[in-house]
Amino acid sequence: MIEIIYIEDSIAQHPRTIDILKRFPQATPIPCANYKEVFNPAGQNFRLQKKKPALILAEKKGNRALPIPETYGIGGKYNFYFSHMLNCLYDCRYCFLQGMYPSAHYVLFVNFEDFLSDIQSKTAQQPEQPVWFFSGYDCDSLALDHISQFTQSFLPHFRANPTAHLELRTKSVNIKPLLNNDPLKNVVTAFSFTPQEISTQLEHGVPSVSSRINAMKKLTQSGWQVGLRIDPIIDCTNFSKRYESLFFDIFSIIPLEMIHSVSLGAFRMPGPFFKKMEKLYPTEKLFAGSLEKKQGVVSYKKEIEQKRKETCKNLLLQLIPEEKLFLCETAPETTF
Amino acid sequence: MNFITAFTQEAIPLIEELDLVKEDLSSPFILFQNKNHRLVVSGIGAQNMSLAVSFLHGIHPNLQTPWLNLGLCGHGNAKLGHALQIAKCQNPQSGKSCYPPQLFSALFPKAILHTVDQPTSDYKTDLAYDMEGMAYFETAIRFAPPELVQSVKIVSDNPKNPLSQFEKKQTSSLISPHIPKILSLISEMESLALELEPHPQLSFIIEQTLSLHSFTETQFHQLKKLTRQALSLGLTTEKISQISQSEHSAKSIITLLHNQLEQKRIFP
Ligand code: SF4
Repeated sequence: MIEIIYIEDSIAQHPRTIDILKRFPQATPIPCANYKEVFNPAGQNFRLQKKKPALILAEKKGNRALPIPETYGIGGKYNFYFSHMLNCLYDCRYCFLQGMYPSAHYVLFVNFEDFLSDIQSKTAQQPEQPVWFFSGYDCDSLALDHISQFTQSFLPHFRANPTAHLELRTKSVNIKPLLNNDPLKNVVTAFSFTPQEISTQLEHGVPSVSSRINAMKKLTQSGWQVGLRIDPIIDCTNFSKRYESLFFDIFSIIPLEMIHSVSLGAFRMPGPFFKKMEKLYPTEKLFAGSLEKKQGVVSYKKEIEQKRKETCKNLLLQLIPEEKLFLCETAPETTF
Repeated sequence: MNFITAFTQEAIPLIEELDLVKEDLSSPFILFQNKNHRLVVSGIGAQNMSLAVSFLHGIHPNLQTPWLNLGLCGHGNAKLGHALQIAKCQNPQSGKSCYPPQLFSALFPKAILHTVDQPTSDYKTDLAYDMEGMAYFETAIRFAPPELVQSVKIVSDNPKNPLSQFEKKQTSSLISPHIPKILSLISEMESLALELEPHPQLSFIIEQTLSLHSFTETQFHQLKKLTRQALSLGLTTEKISQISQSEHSAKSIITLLHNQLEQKRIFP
């Protein structure tokens, strides 16, 4: 439950701010001149704040749609990401957000119209080409939709602009906002997975694997395309068996033709993020794994990473055609 | 846990409730304490508050200790005796603000506090006023995570009951009714602080190992990291101690610990 809502002065009268305050009447509104006054101060403890994050309503200034690195796409030539929110409802122990941000408060940038206008102008630069927009790198795209109403605000734009493509990256089963709409060919809801045994240990608060598969099923039955993100791949005991069973569970239920893409991503973490995460959770087993730091990035030892990726790739290629499979290589810091 | 009040009268209900004992110190501040709690009376104003917070940190220099400032405040519209937890503190002169994160049960309504240089009768709606809050927050967050630095204020004056009519002897009777909730807040803050404490065996094992062999600075860091990892990967304290006692040099302890952990590093 949101108990405190910090409100940046510049958007205090924004209709979305007024609407959110109406929907959370029990929350105490606290004005702030700039959201960074609340979000950025050093010394805050992400782990403690995660117990009860506040909501910060702010205005996103500057560039709102940024290019993603070449190795991160899913087949498109023109790719951008945007972050209408910072931070996430869930608490995955491997999540780079806890290494990157000083605070666990949820920041919601309410000026959606500016995001959409940036998306519009990036799309207009390539009138004949599909242009991809990725949401959900600095947050989960759907988990806090009941607060942000992001989906219902953005879908009409993509409906009207078929060359603009949207990826909603999520671990949430909050698919109602999508099911309330007719499916769009240019929108992919991409679900991230680790095997259930890993998820239980590392993805705190995340819906179970089976309920996420069920959400995928419901979406595909309604005509929505879905994506599968095996990212990060976690080295673990019974690796092949666990990942094989995960893939089996997904592909025995989700029809292949409704799967837009599958991507594999290794565990990669910029050194300073990793250091901070280790300090937050000094007894976390994941951080005591067979990791190494190379060129400032912490990852599994090369031979382990290669082997695990290869295993996943081989398992997946028994189930999907190669053109649907993408390998993502980039660490978050170098990405964003 | 550390407590700071500006006046002794503000401290009395806590001193009584927690059985704090006055220490006989030759220091500029009066210190009351029991085994787990320390309270200092700062005196009036920002400078006294900053000094008092630093003094108290010096008495117990632990960076995970929670801090609570308890005191009276003026308010633009809240009733006398109303208790408020500060969610934003601002110094209108400097324009500086701070926002102590609110992670605890909603025991008290939240408030915005303006810290002013002089007592004011110019009350604005929805604002609380004091003379020490900003100095308290700015200093205490140097010694603890801001989540563990909180302030509860009880309204002693408002436009209908200006400060000029306030009598100091009313202080305890304004604060005392809120003591049960303040105790709940204290207990929540203390349990949160416990989560930040390092593994209870970690420093014991490291100290024990350091007493047996001499370690270079780099080896010391390696030992610390390996011991922490050993404990998270399920190596028992006895096993780690056994390694440090059976080996003859820092280097061989590190190598053996490293080798022992290699087999355990795979995520379960
Ligand atoms: S769901 Fe994604 S964004 Fe949210 S905590 Fe997990 S990894 Fe981070």
